[in-house]
Amino acid sequence: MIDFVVVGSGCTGAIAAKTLIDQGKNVTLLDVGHVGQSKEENNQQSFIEKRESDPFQQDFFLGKQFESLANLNQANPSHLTPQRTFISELVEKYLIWDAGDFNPIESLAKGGLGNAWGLGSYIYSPQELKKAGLEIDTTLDAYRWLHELLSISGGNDFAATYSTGHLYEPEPAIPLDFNGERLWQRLQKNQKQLANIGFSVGRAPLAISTENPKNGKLYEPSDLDFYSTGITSAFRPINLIEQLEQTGKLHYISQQLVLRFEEVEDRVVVHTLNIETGKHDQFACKKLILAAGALSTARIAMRSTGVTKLPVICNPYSFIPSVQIGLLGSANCGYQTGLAQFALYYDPERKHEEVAMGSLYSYRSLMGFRLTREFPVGFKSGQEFLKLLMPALNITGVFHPESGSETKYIELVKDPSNITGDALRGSYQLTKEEIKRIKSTEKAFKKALKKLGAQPIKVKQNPAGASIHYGGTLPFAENGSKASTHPKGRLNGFKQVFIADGSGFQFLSGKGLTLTLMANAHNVAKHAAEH
Amino acid sequence: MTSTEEFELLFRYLKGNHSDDNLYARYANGVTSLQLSLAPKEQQQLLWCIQHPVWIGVVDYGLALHTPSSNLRKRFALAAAIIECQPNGVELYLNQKRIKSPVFKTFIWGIKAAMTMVLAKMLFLLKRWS
Repeated sequence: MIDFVVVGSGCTGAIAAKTLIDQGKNVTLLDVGHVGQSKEENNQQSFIEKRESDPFQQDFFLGKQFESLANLNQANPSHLTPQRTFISELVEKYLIWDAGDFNPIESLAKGGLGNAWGLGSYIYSPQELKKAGLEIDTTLDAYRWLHELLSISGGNDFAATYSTGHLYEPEPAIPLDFNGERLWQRLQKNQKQLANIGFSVGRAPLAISTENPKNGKLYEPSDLDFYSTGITSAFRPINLIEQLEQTGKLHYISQQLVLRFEEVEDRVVVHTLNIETGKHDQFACKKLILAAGALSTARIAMRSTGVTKLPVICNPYSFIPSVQIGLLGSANCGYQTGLAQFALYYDPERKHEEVAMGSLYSYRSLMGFRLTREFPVGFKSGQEFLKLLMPALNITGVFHPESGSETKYIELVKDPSNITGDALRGSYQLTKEEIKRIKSTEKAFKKALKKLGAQPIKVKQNPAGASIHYGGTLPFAENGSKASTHPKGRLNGFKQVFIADGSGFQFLSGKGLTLTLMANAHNVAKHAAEH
Repeated sequence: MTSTEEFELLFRYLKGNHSDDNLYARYANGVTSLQLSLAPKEQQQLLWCIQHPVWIGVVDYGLALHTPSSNLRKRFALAAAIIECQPNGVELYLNQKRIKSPVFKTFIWGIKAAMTMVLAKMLFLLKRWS
């Protein structure tokens, strides 16, 4: 019988597996593990060089079958580049959503949504950890452990209290591009003014190595990094999974869609669908760790417990494009990165409890037709404007803090026409108070961007589910029902089943949650190993 | 269904010169892959543009204002994307030298855009595509 089965190979599954192996355990990881066709290319060229010289650039920027345009038809376009479209392949067939007003993005890829992770590595404050239902001391320790594993760079500046919490010394930030340089100069001048309106602004902490690489590669500035998953200095769960496979202690089994589980005496039986053969398989193990993401884990838990309705939380997400007037019409030269350059933390009361966060990008390498589609202008006219606009354009993605409410939930409904026999239906309605708070936060961000010298153009609110930050489906509770998680990670009502993803989180800070998800996965796996 | 006239029209509008067969093949492939079939009203709008090519810019604005998610606008987006991904298409979006008086040019662009919007509003109000 297998000792430990981990479900899912994304950030939390990879960290749970790594932690168990470090504790001397043997681990079997069940995963669909879709890899798609490799679309990575040798990206030695810069963006401009590629654009000017490559006659086959369409395949790279649009995809051979126009993959990056295909999501124009979706309710919630994921903006995945052709190199990353494999991340959401197969989802429509196996992770089925019924009609509803919640449009999440999920993955069945090897490495999961971690393949598209923007690498932002933010800590939650003790107050935020408490609100989320996480243990403070052990999570802070896990952050330090993760810093050693991931190599986090940037964030040790004006806003360090929010980004690293002074828990560790990050590596130097990646270089600023010419757009970011100007913002940095304004930031140095206007720190106090920004603080007066409730903002702390600094470099975004990223899981990317600029000084002391753990995998032998340093960050090399590239202005095609928006398109590629292949930044070798970045932490990606798929790389960790492959490293663990090489140790011989991780048995990775792909093509397995986990449907449900049951506890039988002192073991757990995991029921799966082999998507290659179409047959149902079973795996018996001593302990099961679910790390398939809050939504997929919810599916598995609902099928296993008979509960049909669960809460859900997801950060509301807005875009604010802005322009640095002084850069209008500049020549497009030099390096420009697709990674977040700055993080803007909005915490007017300075309580570290309800922080909204904006990640600021300069998007030269985003294709012009995409941007034109966002504005009420013709495409020809858009071309003329973008020539002036592109060097001066920034886009700030604002994540709003999120708590649960009765109007945000998912239901598992029977649907025999689907291969799994069911579908999830989501309902997500913000309360009036939440809408008011979001609007006021957006106003504050517009003010802050002006103080940084970037004139906001408009605010675009994304559909529910667009932030790709999901949690709260099996909320933490000490002695709760079967549809809740013990703070140590055990699924209440079960002895040997643990939840290592964000399902337990009762609150999501506006600060990116991935680092905290991984910290929780580390602690849950550690507890499961000692349990 | 697509026609060479349609792509030729879009190409001339967006790029300013003649297209070639290779690009048309890509466009036709894109329309099929993305399932951008046109509703009867959109077909009429496209036909009208082919018959009156001088108005295509105004129709483009009208689509952006009235039906931004329509398949006809997506066809415009597809043509723009294909043209943008040509080595000689880079100059349409990215300038290698600094543009002089950018704020003034932006202002002029804004006036032109506003006027075209008004025209497009009027056209879509008066012209009945049923």
